[in-house]
Amino acid sequence: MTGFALSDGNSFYCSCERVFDPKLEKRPVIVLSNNDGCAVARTAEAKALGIKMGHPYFLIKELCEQNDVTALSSNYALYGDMSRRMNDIYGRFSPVTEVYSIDETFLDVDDIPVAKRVQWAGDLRSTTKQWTGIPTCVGIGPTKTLAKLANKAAKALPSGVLDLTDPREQQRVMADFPVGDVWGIGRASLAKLAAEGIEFAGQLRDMEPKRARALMTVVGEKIVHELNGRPCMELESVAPQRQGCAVTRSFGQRVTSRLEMEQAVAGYAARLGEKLRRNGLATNHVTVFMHTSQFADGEPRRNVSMTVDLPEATNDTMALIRAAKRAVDGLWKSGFRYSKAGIITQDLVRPELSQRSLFDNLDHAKAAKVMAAMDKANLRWGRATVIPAAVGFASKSAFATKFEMRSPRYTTRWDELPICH
Amino acid sequence: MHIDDISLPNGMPVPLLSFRPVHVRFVGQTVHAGFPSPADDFIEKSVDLNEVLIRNPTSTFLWRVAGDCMIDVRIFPGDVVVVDRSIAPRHRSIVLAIIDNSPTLKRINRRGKTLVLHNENAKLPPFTVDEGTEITIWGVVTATIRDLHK
Repeated sequence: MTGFALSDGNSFYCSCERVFDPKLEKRPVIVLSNNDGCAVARTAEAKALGIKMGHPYFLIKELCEQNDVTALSSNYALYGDMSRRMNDIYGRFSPVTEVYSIDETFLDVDDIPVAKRVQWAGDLRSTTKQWTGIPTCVGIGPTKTLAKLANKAAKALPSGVLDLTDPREQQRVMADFPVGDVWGIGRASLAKLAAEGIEFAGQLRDMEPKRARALMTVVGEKIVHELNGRPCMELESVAPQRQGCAVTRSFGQRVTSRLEMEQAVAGYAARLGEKLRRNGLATNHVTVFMHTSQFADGEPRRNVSMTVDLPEATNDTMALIRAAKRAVDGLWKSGFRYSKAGIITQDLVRPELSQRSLFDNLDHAKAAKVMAAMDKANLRWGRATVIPAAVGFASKSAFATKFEMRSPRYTTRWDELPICH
Repeated sequence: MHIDDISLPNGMPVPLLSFRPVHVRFVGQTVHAGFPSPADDFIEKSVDLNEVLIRNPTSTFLWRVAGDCMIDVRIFPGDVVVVDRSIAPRHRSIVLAIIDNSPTLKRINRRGKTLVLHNENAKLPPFTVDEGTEITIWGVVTATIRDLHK
């Protein structure tokens, strides 16, 4: 019988930290986003103190100090390695899996007899905990949306497993499951549903699919079908081609000069070029944005962006930097303390399929050679060994992401292995 | 979960492929005349240390030793121990134990129906625990690695 399971790591980033630092066990721990901006993972103890997802760190710093909360910078090398290990284990439990995010994976359970699914999920959990130290929850359902819902509801259960294969179970759980927690229901949809008097998943399940479509486009209709146990989504075991790509950073220190901004954005453009080349993709436009902090009271605020078209699709860092610089020229206004900037592209294309512009005078072969040489040097000797001069030489330290409170990269560096006595 | 850096598919970090250039030199005779190398039919992969040191890569982690409680079984400070979490500890296993939140190497011995932890260092007082000490077995030590030419 068709079925999906969703397994995810509980407070995943925090759990990774606890595996190698037992002192963090049973204590409040939070992990912060890039540049120690805001809380992106919290243990149950931290949640109990009222720390919310996305809470800016400077607002909760005092609370953390008073309550002896351990706040850590993101250690993506560690989380990525632990995620890979968990997915290795999942691969032993199911022939088809879809890695949905760094800590969430869908598994195909078609071949597991319905009566054995709870036992199967329990084995998956205990093996993952034993082998990696990471606690997980598993939700099972006839559709991906129901598996995701079951996973969320399983968080509150001591067993950490919830099977919603049985329609009566679906009915029971959905009756008081907040509709805002249903997969795919965003803030905009939530407001529309509230206006219709729909608070719980069970009510949304009973909505006419046509009505859902009128309210929330085809996405809403699909959600209604999925909540009714009619699958509209398959497992995507191969990652789809990337639609867009972005490099954005909160600045370690506020940026107030144009030169600094130009260099920062040039640095992002260089990184974007690297990412595009690694994926064999190109873009024909870049959007640059910059804004001041939304939390700085009393300071003048500014939030602007500009899109610059490129004469043809490219992944040449030099061309991307030129375009990004034109955007900065158009956007820059002094007198503000900018907290964040970034560069975004959409509609990525494969360079071989893109149209060459008629008056194209770029020397493509030469540019490609330079880029390949730069990528190779940076791979071999470390990121930003060879940089375009536009990025500036101060940039490596000034705009690099801050990881002040990062734990050791326990599993990927010989000189940072965990220590025992 | 939000990764500021970039929206990679599913937020996963992209594994960097290690593409160090590989220069292939043909050892066997490929020239028209002459004799083929008698070794050509017997080319095999070089032995790989991972094969003997790591039985289950998914559940195996490396730890650096800083203490001297196991020196009688030649586990010295500075060594790297290979720890497998998928193996059930048994009588005489050397384990990484978390004792009151502190990661420590110990020998397991069975005394009747209970398992007892020991140091392997005659110069240290015998290892004892107080009532209420929390002990968990983190994993089983399966090998040690020591650089003899530092």
